[in-house]
Amino acid sequence: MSPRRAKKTDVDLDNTEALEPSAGDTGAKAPPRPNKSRPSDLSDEERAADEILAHYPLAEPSLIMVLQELNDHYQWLPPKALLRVSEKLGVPFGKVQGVATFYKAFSLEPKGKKTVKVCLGTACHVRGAGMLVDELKRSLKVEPGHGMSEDGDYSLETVNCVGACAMAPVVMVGDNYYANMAPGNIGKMLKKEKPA
Amino acid sequence: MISGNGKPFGSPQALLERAEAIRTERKAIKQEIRVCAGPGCIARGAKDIHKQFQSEIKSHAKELKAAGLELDATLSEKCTGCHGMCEAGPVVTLEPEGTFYTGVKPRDAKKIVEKTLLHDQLVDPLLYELGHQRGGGKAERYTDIPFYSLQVRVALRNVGVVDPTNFDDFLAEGGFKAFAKAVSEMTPEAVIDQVEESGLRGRGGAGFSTGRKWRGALRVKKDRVWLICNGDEGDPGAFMDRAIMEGDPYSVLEGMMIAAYALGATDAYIYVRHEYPLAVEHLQLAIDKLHTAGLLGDNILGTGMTLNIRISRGGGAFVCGESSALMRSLEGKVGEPRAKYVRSVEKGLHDEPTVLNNVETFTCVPAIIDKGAGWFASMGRDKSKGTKAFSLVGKVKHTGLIEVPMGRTLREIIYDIGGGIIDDRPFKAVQTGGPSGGCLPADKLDLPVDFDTLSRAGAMMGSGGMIVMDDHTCMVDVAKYFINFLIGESCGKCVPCREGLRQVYDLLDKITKGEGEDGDIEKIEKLCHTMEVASLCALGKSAPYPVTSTLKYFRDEYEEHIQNKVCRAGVCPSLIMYEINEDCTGCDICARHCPTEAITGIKKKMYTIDPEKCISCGICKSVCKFDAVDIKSGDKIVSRDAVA
Repeated sequence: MSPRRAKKTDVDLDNTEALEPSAGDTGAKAPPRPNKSRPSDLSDEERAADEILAHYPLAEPSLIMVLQELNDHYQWLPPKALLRVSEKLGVPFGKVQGVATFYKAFSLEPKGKKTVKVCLGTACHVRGAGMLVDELKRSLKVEPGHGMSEDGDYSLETVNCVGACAMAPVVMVGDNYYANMAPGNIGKMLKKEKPA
Repeated sequence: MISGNGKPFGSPQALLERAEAIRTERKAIKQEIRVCAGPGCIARGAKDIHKQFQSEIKSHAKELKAAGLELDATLSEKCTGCHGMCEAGPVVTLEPEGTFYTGVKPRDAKKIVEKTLLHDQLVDPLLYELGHQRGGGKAERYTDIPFYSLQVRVALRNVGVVDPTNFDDFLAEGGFKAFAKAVSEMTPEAVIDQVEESGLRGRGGAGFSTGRKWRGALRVKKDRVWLICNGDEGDPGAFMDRAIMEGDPYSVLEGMMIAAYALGATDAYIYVRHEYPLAVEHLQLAIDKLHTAGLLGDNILGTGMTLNIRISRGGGAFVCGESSALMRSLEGKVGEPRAKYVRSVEKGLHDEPTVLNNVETFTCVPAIIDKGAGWFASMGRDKSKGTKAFSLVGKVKHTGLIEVPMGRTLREIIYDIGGGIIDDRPFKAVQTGGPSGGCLPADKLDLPVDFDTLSRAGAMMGSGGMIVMDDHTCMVDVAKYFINFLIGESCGKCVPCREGLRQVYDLLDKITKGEGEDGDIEKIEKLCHTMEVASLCALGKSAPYPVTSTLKYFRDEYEEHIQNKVCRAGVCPSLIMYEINEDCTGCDICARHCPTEAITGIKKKMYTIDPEKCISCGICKSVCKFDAVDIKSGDKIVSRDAVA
């Protein structure tokens, strides 16, 4: 999975050229660009987007579903793939960007190998989940929802409720639940989960 | 395990006959093992336990056969939805006796097979400890446990009973009986009459009459009406809809099918929250099965009815639980709500008439059609009829999923069913209705829980999350928590909500940091009032409730934060100090864990914390095995027990 390792700053800046011919624009023709009809000319991201798009009607209502599958595939939304989705669905890129930034399920930044999710549901909050976030911020040196730890192992996220309130406070790493967590156990958990 | 002939049912009669045949076939079953596969139990390894049961049954096949138990004939095993008592998980029950095993581990499967199945003996250590309830001792059946015996399950009737992936299981429990009755014996009008007479009100929070909503849509219907099931359960601390969708997907679909029949709808959506992948999986399985069984698609049960139900996964935005925002999201757009002067029954999805109901509401419909409006209306009180599911969480002993008739008091729910507060600490407040609800104090414990009483008291029924708080919960911090939650979830379209929330948050943050001044409370109240009257949708209008309700009932706590710089619950980091008391054994564990090296001392002697270096992270307290770390606020010790 090479796209995951991309630099954080790659997100929009490198694609200003590609941004110009935004789909749905009826205005001036964009500068000529390589013909991308042959699959071999497509980048990995575009091909991945095409594969997903093939399962949906090419219209606006498919947008969120397509982005969800893309996000499931890459753990984030690479700009090239987003452009391809915009072209194919005929939805202006600005709108695609709007949807991608509005919904929490989508990330516009690459993620670490594993994502640590701290549940901040009310049940977890009253049992001290805030202290867990603070401790994770300190030990991973990341902010929730942004970037990854220096070694690229972990990203940090807070979620509103994972629906496992009986085990509050809950931390999830990947699909593993850690129940009744306390700040003192965070270090042990990170050590255990450390990606090889 | 018992499959049909694979052909679609040609008539309602054929479906009912098949259900009867399955029931007859199943009369032979002498023992059934039900492994709870609710979210809590899965997280604690329920899947492994289920596998272990399967392999134990295989390796004990001979002995079991000798005892008259043969798999798929007289013995059955399955994974079910959530049993409700998540705190005691993983849970395994044995039917028909109702034996209730708690805290089961994979290795216990062998014991249960050998002792209980083969020799009719109970595995004592796995039985539920009644503690101070009903004179103590151990409960052999779940009907002996107040947590269960005080409940009445309507919406949750099949959750924990059926295997959510098994259509036959659902048929055997009387599934689709109501749908068959509706399409063969009732006119659409009669269905709506029944739903209206039952007094069923929307379980998603607002409590609008379901029958009236349906009738309203029919009145404006021209060509078609859309049907939407709202499964975007975003309230933190609420997981009833999740349990229903995961544990009993067919009942949700049956409710939608009856609604579709009544409304003449041909297209329906279920909008499921992004965080619930298992719900999506089970619903999709069920929809596929219903297509092959001739219960969805064209010419359903030979009646000429057409219905397609599609699943749409949410994008993780809380505001999308709001009906108009949800509809925008279904259209593939940003989920911004719109003003409510256009009602969605008239102009909803794609600007066409739309009926949107919550998961629990739809799930109640088949029960009403099957047993009659009178039966449903006989439960509950005043204008709140029937039962309501709640997720009872927070600092309560038996956290989990419950369902009670409307009108039970908060005290009955929290103390009789929930078993009281953890460690028998004093009760401080209960928060109902999610981020838009309110906190009610101890003197409101005897209020009956129904739509109207709760709103009068400044709280809200909401979707049914009930979060119990004890004296270690700071009410200012709770208010700040909800406002912070809503800042993240406000769609940003209207100013009162977007900016109001930020300003209220800043003021609350100031207060919790000990920088509060005279007049801050008044400023907060003014902002809250503006948001209440001027916000566009329910999210903004109800956003101030957690603040206004805590101000109403716990104003002294706010004042204490401002005047005395004291947090009596020992929560607000800037107002508390950690101190080591004489119980310290000098084990050094806190010093090793302290991130700022604020703890020093000589081994085997009492350690001390340097208040200058301490950042109040709480790690020392959470690692201390001797309860030797105290929290002090304003020279008073406010906490002497573990935080988590």
